[in-house]
Amino acid sequence: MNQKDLKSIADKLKDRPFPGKRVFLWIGSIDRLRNILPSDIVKTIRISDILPLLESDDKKLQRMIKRSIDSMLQQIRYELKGQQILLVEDAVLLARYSLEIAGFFDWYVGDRTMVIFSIPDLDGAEKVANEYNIKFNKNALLDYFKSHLDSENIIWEGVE
Amino acid sequence: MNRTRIGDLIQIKEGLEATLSLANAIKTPDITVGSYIFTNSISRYMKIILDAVIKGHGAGFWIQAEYGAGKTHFLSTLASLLAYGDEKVWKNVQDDEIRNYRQSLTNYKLFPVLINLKGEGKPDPMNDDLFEVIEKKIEDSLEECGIRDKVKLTSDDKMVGWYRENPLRGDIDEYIRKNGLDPIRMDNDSLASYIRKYCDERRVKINIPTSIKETLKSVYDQLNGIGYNGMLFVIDEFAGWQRRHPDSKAYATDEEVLETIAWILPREMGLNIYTMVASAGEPPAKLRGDRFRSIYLFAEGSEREFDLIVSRRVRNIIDEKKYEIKEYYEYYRSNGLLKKISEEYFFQIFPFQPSCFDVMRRVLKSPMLENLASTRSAIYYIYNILGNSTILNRDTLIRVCDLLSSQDLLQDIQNSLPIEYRSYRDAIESIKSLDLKNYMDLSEDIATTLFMWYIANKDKPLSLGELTDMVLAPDTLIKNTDNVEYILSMLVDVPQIKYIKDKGAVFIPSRENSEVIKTFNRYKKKVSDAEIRDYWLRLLYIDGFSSLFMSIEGPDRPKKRKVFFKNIEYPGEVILSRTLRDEYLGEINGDSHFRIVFLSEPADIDPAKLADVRIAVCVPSDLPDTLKDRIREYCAISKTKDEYFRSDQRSDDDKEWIKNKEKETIINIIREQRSVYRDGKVFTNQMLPIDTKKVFTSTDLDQILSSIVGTLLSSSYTKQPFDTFKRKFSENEARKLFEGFFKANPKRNALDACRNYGPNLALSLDDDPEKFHPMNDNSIFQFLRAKLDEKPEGVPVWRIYKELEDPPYGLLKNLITLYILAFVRANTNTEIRLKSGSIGRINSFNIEKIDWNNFEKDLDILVKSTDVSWNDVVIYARKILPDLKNAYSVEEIKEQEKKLIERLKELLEEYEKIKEDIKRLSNAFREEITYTGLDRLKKLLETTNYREFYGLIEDLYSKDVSELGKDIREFTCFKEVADKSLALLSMKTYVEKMRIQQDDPLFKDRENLIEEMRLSSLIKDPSLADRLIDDFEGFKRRYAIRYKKTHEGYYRELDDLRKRLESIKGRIETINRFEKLGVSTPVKGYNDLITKIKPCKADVNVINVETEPICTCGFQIGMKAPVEDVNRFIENVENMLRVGINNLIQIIKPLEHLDDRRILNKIIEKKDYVLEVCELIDDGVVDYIKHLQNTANIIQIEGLVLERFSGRFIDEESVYSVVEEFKRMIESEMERAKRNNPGKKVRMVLR
Repeated sequence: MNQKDLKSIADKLKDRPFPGKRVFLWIGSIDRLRNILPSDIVKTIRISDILPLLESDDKKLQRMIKRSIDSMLQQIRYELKGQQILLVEDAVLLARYSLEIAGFFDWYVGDRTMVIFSIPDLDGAEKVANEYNIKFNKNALLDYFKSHLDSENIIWEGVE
Repeated sequence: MNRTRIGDLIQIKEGLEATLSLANAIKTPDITVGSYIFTNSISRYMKIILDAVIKGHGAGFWIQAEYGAGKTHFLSTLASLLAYGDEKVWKNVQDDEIRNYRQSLTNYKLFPVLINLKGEGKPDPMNDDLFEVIEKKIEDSLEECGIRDKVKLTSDDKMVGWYRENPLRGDIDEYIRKNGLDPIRMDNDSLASYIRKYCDERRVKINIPTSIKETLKSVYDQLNGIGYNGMLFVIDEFAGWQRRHPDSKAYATDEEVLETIAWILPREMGLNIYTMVASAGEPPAKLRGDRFRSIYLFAEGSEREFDLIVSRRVRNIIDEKKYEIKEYYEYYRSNGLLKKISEEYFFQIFPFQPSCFDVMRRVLKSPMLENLASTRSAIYYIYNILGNSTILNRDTLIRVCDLLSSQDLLQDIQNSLPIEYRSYRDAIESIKSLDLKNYMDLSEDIATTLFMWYIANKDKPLSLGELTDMVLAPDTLIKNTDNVEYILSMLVDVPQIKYIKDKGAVFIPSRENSEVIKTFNRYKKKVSDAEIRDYWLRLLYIDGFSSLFMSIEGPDRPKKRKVFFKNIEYPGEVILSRTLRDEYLGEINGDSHFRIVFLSEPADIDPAKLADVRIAVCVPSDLPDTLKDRIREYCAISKTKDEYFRSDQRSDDDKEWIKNKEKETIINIIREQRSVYRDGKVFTNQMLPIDTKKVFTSTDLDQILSSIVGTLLSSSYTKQPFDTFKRKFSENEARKLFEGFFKANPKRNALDACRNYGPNLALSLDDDPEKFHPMNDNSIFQFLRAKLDEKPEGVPVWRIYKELEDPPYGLLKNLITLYILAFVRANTNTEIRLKSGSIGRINSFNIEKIDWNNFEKDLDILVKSTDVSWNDVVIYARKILPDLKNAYSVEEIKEQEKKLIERLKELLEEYEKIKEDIKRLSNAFREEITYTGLDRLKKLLETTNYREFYGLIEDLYSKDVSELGKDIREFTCFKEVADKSLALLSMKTYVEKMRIQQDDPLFKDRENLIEEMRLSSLIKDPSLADRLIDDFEGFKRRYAIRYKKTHEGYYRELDDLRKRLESIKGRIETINRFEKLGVSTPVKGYNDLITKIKPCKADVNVINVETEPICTCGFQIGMKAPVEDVNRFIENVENMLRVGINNLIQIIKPLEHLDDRRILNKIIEKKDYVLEVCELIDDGVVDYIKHLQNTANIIQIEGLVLERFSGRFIDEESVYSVVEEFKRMIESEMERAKRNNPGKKVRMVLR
């Protein structure tokens, strides 16, 4: 799938609900993504907003995040009117904490909704990470999403 | 309007949601259950499951259905009933029978474990662990049910439980704190992880259940204890989960986990556990049968349930309006419509004409439309229609033609089928332009219905009756079906609508009323006959389609083709041409075996003009008019295409239409191509009966060619020595046959080729096909033999190739090569000479050395061989191996040659040994030996084939067999002597080691024997060796007897002498004591004498004279014992003793007055009794005498006077002066002694 197809699905969803469980991964600039989405039905969330502070135990943190996400998704779904596209801005954190994305299927996606996980351009991100001496494994990040999503649900910016 | 508008009879549902998630659905069980539609089959499946639950023995169910068919809703409903099924929930069940189960199942509490596998799993799917997911979900469910702290669930829980009651807890806490964490603040899984780490590092064993079975049993028991009747596992999206990790350990684990929860735990452990797995796929083989009962939602036969589900999901019937709805039913029935529809069903699906669902279902499954999810999409489309107020305001049912009023469906069709939709719109436009008066609406409905029918069923015609039913055409003055038929007849000018009486109507996407069609038709009218012929020819070989001559590049461009005849690939040429040119009539040359000419136009051919019997000319019939018309169309569309594609102004749709039209036209023409040739004729020189009807049955040019070429070649190649091969004889087979028959250690594939083709080629026999054995009636061999007889001086190989390539043989080049080589191999008296520049020749014996890939160009002539034959050699070879005989075949010759070469090799080995042995003998015998004959023969022994052997016979012996015989005899003599070399060597060595005194009688015998030992004589007459060895053995026996005897006597004598010497040992000691007292010199020579008479250590009885002629003691026959020496020595000792005693008396007499012990007196008394004196004088007495001398103040010194006179010559005159001098000397010595020993009495011993 390319960005043109994604735009067409997003536009269709804006017009009317239609059946399916739509979860996509966008790799590229978030601004570019916003440009192709119908802004009036886009809701943006950030995993970093619900990251618990002062918790160093990864496993515990993982569980806490999962519960927070589940609860947030249920709330969003409850408040849902019409159609909606949920844009997860810092989806990279899902991979960082090896969270399953089951919650998005359980609590959110449906005929009126779709989810787009956004991760930045990988080469650029790697470059920045290297500048700050941060360990960054772009393959691991991609593999994480590939394991949960079909390849046709992964969209690279600029690929027509 | 006669009836109540349909919008007043139904209530449209709100908040439609077709895609459910298990988690969400279960949050509101009453709504989930209430919205679920129990069709007959669903109700039946539910009962099966609920009955199983009532039985209380646990069970597994595999819920299968295609994507979007409602698996999740089915699971959610079941889970809602079984896990959350209170009165309120059960009350909402829409099905009476199912609702009745509430008596048995209300408050029946199954602990729910709801698992949606979509989005679950590890970053690496190969690490997916279904049990881990289940554990996690159980934990979630425990929390959800508020009993998290009452059940120890996961292994983490148990681990923490174990830790809390363990004496090691303090240690573990400290360990965790060292890692910077507080155990009190940690949750169970983190804590468990540290406990595991601690135990691993310290090898502490944890005794808690960890297997799936143990863990679930433990959980189950705990749940039972707090009031649960059992457990319910609901697993959704299983197919997607398994696709994540196919063919992996995780996949196998999935099966194991499911088998455990659905079968092992209920059956083996009696646990009341129910498992429901929803999947788009079948259960894995391991889980089929008893493990999981399969439930297939909406299987074949339950199509109408789709209608019910869709209807009920989008609207409710207003109960009070049933009468009005019935009016609808009766109205349609009275118009002869919906005859097959029951009233009940009509109510269930109201306000829809039943075909809506059938068409909708088929549309959704149509391969023309993509990505439309089945039931769920249908619900949305139908729901969409109900949003259309025009429809709701009508008093007619919603029909198939109304489906397009769903904007969603319309949009999806426009996106997926733009051309067809345009065509549909064109049809509607055409209808509008017709003068249909009152029939306009119905006409449009008919067109729209046919268009929807087309999407659902493609070209299947829709019968008049069905169409009437679908459009709900009412009876008027005219019967409704007649009305519809009338309209269809009116629509004859609408190109998209076709109606055939008794068959039905269809929609055909067409654009006949467009500008592009008009252009096309204009061109079509102008196509000339010449253009038809040109385009026909062009289409015969057009590329990109399956045209008849697609593989031919164009007219009059001969194409090389290979065709199988008798299963051999024969090369030839194929030509497509408008006319038969002269160059196609001539002879076929070179490697080519046929020429097939396909003419594109009819022609009459004179067979006699075809110069080669292998030429065939295929002539088509006249083109039928229908075909001409199609070609005209092709011509027109090509021109239209040129015009449209040159312009940027033309629409994409037009261009698309042109492309499709062009494609369709080409395909239609190509379909006709064969039939023109089927009705044509095939001309050959012999006018062979080639049935064009059969030949052109195939669409494949290869098969057509195969058929024509087969007939041509079987009538041309009448002298081939083989029939059709059972397997294809490819280009490589001749090489493989060559290798299989003639090369050493052939590969398996080469032997396979011999087995597959050898007998048919008459090169081997059926019962041993891998062995070269040409058959007598091999026609190619006969041909070659005749050629050689005709021209013994040689036949050029190129001529053989030429003649065998042509009829009546028709062999391929590779096969000719094989036959020529096989012929030479079979006939040892033939050979192939190579062209100048190539060394050597090919004959029976070197064929195996040929490199198949690179030798043909060097072949010059096939000729009778002038080479030396085995039978020329055999007379000489027999000198080497008398068994050898004459031979005629290569095998026989090779066998004989092999024997010769093996024998030569043996002899060469013997030669080396002989040479070595003789050399050793030559050294031992100290004789120079010449080996002239032997060395000459050696060269012969080194030959490796019989030709080389014969060459040396010529060089070394000038073919004189007697000279060869001499060398072989010499070789034999050398060999005989060499064979005895060991015996001769030991004999020679033995004899040379012997030592016999000259006066011994054996001395002479030994001398004679040595005289006879001459190596040269032995080589000349090897029989001497045996005699010599016999003589030696006799001599040795005599010698041995004598040696033993004399050895014994000699040592007996020595023994006597030794005893005598030992008897005087005491006297010698006495003399030595005398020496201490200065009265004697010491005894010398005793030890030497003792050494001389040392005994032999060897036992005389076992001396081995067989191997060594002399005993280790060195005794030689004739040696004498030293009797005289011993006698002399003893006499000397006696004398010395007597002199010593006298001297002793002289020195002890002056000491007598001091002799308190009276020893000196005894000595003096016994002085004449030597033995007694010896007994008296011991070391003590010597010391005593020295003591007495000291006491008497006597000093005894040595006066070195005598030695000064020793050796001096004196005469009579000088006696006095010498004596005077002697006196002076003594006096002088005495004076000096006195001076040196003042006060002592000096006694001097002269030395």
